[in-house]
Amino acid sequence: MKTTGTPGILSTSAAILLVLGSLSLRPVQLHAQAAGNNAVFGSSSACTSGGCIASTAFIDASILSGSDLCAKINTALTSGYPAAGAVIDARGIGSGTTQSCAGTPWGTSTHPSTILLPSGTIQISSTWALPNGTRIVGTGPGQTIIQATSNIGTIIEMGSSASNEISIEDLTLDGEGYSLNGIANSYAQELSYVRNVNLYRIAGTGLLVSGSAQNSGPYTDIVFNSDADAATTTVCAQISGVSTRGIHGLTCISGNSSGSYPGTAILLDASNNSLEDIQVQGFLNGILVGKDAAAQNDVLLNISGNGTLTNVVHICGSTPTPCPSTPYTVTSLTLVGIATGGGTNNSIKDDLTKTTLTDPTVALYVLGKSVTVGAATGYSRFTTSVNTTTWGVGTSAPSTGCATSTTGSLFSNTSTSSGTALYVCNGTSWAAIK
Amino acid sequence: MTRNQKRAVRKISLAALLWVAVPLLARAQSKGNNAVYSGTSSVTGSSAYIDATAYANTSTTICATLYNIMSSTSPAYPTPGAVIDARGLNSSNSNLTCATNTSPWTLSPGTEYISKPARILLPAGKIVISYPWVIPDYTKIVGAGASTSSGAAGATTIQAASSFNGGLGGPMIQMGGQLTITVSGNPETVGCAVCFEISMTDLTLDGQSQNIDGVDNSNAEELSTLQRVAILNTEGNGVLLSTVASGPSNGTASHSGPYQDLYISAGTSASSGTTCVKVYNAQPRGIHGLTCSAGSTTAPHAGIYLDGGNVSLENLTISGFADGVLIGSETPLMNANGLQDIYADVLSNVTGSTNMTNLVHICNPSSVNGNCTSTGFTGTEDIAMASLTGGSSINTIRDDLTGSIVTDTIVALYDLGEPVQASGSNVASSYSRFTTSPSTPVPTWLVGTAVNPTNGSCSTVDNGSLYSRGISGGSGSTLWGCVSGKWIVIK
Repeated sequence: MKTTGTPGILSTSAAILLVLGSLSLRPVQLHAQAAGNNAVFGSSSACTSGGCIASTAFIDASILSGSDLCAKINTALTSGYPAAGAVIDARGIGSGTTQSCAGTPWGTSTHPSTILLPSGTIQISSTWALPNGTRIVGTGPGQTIIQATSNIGTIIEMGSSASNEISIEDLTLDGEGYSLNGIANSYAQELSYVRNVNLYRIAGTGLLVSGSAQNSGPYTDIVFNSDADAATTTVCAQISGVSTRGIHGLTCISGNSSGSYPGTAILLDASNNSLEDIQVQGFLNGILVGKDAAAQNDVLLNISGNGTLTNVVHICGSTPTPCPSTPYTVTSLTLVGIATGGGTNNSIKDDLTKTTLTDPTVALYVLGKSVTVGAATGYSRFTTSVNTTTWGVGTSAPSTGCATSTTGSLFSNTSTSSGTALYVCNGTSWAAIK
Repeated sequence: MTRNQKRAVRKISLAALLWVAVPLLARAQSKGNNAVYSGTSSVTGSSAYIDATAYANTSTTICATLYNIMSSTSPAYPTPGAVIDARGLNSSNSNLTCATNTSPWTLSPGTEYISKPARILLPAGKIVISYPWVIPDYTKIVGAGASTSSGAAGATTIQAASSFNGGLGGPMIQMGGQLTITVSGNPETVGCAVCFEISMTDLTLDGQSQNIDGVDNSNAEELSTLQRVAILNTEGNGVLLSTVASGPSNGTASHSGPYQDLYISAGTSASSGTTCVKVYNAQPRGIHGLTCSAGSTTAPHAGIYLDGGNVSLENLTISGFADGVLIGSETPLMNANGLQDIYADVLSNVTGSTNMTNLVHICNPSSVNGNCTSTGFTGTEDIAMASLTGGSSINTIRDDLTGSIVTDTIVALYDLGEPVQASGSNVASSYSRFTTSPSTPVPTWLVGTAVNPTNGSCSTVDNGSLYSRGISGGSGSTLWGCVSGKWIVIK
């Protein structure tokens, strides 16, 4: 009995422990309304029986069924998902690891949601097409990495039909050197945006905004770094045929060595867009305006190179390569704060007025509309560059000649002691007007 | 089983019970704390945030629940404030329609108002309010998302109940401000006259076509903003950024903003006074990103009233209003902050539509046109505008100060400076100005490759325009002026 009784005692004790042990978890489970609900203290007593309740503040997808991250998110979206929408917290699924998705988180689901992605690398083999009202949020660029395992065309598409309220934040898209697009938006409009995203090793187009994406944006705080995978056709960002709220804050880096730089970092083939706070390095052209479509009434503000670009801003006209031989309509551009970042390259190359500025910095270059003047075309234009036609102001008469490139410039002498107040550059010297 | 064996079982059972229960009981936490594991089998409370679900009750409104949390003394609401996660409140555990005359900060207007810092996370779904939310200092309201439609799934909508505020009008949301309440029979001023860090992000306001404002700010300054907010069917001002009109409070919306990524649709019930944004006697940091529309048969006067200085308006799309941006139409206000003037405003990338009269209208109280007034601001100057896109048959710019109407569909630059000659009985006022618009009646400066346009037609540009030959060669002349339809050599 003594020898045989001990196991009996132990087994009884084990049973009691098991029951009590399960009770220790029961309070959390007792009031759970749905799998994935958060447990919070319902009273000051504690999370004991009856004191711990379920909160639907978010759905923690880590305990849901599914063979991988995407499948678990899909379970959240398709099994008892609230009609009002919800936050799906997937940060607890394989956080910090490399994990693969066999499918996409949405499958056939079109429910709006906010999805918090885990840190680590998420390998995908098909495009993520975000449904209307979907917001995906990573833990930060370089921390949450969505990586293409093959050339899937586009890593993330913002909508697959006309939609609103789609956003991508705080993550990295890794193209693994494939010639694909990072983010493509042809459908998402109001309240749709990209923020704080790193586009890495993408040999196609990093950010492509086109089609019916009007009023989307702004696209802010984006870093494009192709590493050494850029092809000659690699593009950091392109806006094509659509008016948006602009790209504000973008760094474009090609890891290529000189002599094999991609042609253009940013293709601006659309009207009514603002590009602000942009830095480009390792491309031939920083921003190429009007290569593939009309571009009118755009604003470019604080654009800089790093001394490696041929042109920081290139305005297409009738001069082919890389511009088309039959030019698109390109007018009414406002350029503020253009800088080469060193080197001997061009800050602005304007094929329309046949103007090339090598100034390291240009405060203002505004190109207006074309007007027929005599047998040629004139443009309303004003720039602060002193290396083309401009308007200078001084407190005395100009004492030196003027360069041929500044022919037609005006100079106002504010001194009342001089008999002449206004001069024009005739190509070699300042000729007094009045 | 012997007595000793039974005793052993009891001991083990008691030990097991204590092993299981003590860790939990020992860590009794405050209501609403998050349950996190402190060991392999025990949970403890984290005060990282307060989950409002713990305070929820089907007979309690979401406003009352939030009020109960912030006014709680046991457990005491943290003095420095807290994150209140109300995302778990829904129609199953709460009443999402706030009672008449209540808000998260008062259940009895006139006798109480709590002002404690908080970051409040609102749930997806529709919250109905019937009384203005006067948001205290250091309060951030965060929704689940904004939407272009009221009550959309995945978004937070705050909807004004019918007969909002007893039909007295007013804003749905007021960013800061002072209130006078009666406590123990004595009047007491509560709230903030000069407020900071009040913000709303990622939500929708639905005014249900009532003549009310969406958001008013006359008090919240630094670090106060709206971001990704949709405002639907408010037939007053979508957003009003102004200055307290009277009293010693010095309240102003100056230094607040920028107000970013807004979608404001006045709907089909808009009246003549309906507007998306009114900046009045204040200098906020601007509106950056706005789609502004009205769908009424008769177009309201203006999408944006700009009656303040140092304001930047960027990336705007406006439709359905007679004037897109109306500058200087309102009567100036002299108050504790002094007289505000309109100067140094910047408009960039503003797009209109075909159903308006003027995309941008600069008023001159001495020469009233359209929706301007004779009592409007005088002395408007230094308005810089880049990238304006009108529509067919509308004026992209109507500048009553210089008497200029620009009908070019697109205008790269129109910078109005300061008066250089005062107007008189027979002398019109004149301004420093530069525009790239080559259309009459605004002279511009052209640069080109035509070497000798002398006596050629300049009928497509305005009298007084200049032309500089930008290349060498030709007849030797380099500068021409457009005089009576012909290019005349100046030099």
